[in-house]
Amino acid sequence: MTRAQPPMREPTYFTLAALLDGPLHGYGIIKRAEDLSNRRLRLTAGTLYTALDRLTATGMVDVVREEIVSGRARRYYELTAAGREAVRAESLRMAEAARVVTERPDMTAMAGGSV
Amino acid sequence: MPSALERRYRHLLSAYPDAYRETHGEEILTTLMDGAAPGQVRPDAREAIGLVVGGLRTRARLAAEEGRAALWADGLRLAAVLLLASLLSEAVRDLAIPSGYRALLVPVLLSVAILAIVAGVTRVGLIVVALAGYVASLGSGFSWSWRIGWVVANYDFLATLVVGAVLLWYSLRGGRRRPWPGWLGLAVVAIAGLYGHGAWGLGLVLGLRIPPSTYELVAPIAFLSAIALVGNDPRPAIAAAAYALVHLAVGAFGAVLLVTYGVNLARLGPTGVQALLPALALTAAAALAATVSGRRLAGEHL
Repeated sequence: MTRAQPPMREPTYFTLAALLDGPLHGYGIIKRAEDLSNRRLRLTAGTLYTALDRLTATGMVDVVREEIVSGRARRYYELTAAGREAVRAESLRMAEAARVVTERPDMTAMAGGSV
Repeated sequence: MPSALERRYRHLLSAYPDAYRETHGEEILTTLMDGAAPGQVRPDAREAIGLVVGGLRTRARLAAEEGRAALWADGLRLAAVLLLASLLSEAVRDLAIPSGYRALLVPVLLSVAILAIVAGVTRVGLIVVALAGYVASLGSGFSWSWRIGWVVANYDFLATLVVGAVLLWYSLRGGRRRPWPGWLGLAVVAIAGLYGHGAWGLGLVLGLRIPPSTYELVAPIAFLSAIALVGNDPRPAIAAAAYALVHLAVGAFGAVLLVTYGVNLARLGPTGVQALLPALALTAAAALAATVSGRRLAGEHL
């Protein structure tokens, strides 16, 4: 029996989304994910690297380069084709789930009025 | 020179396994320092929690990559540390009764064994445990009848020691890795060894009629189960369940002797029998925590 893929965790989703525009280092991903989530999601380093470990292990993210700038080690991560596809599939799943609610006539009416 | 903040973050990074820290430690530190406010000297509380949780989960993930047997070996090794810690606290308490240099030697040997195991040299720990068992079994008597009498009266001590040695021997299959950060091992020892009796005293002051062995179990089991659930790591909960099970088995054997033959062994009076039900409940709770954390570890997804 095959089980449907469970929904992606939010830190994973925003980590992948942050890399859509090109490679970033750890703190770059945190800042970008924060911007993309309207400042709602602030990843801690612990959460970020747990997500990055899983993503590199499953081939969704690759280390593209490493450098040491003023004594500080940095790794830059980029999306692989599989990662791009995974974040796209997850966004479609969420859009699909959102439509169940947003496309109801009563909800469309609410969207026009005041909340 | 590293700043105070950097030093503190480095300290927190010790939650991660050594091998992982070698490859990722500097990079994570860079990310942490990038996110620090100017002049910040103390780690952000969220970041600190994130590092501890991330470190524990990384330990579990790397151990799981070695297979199920390695998880069991690590869990049972930690159970052996717990058993030795509870014996150590018992042996220290018994020092109040003057009984010669051998009685003094047992807690010393147990301490050495615990430190060796926590430091990752399990083989040395096992040898010292065997030595402690030998010294303890000599008892304080000179003739064989004295010795046998002592062994019977202290069967729970010796049985626990033997079980601890067997668990250690089994855990040698899991390699020589240090499965937990040293502070975790020592925290477990402190909680198992010290808390139990302290809390019992407090319970007496408050007029609670709870058997002492229940106290010995509650704190380490709650602590280890919490670590297991936070870190998605079944190993501490396996240790807690095994520890509680040994208490239960030793207590149950004593209870059977008491009921069947009317032989009342040391420390297994009415309070020992009363403690069986809580021990059973705690064993079940720890086993549940091990199952839940094991499932979470196996089912970790993106």
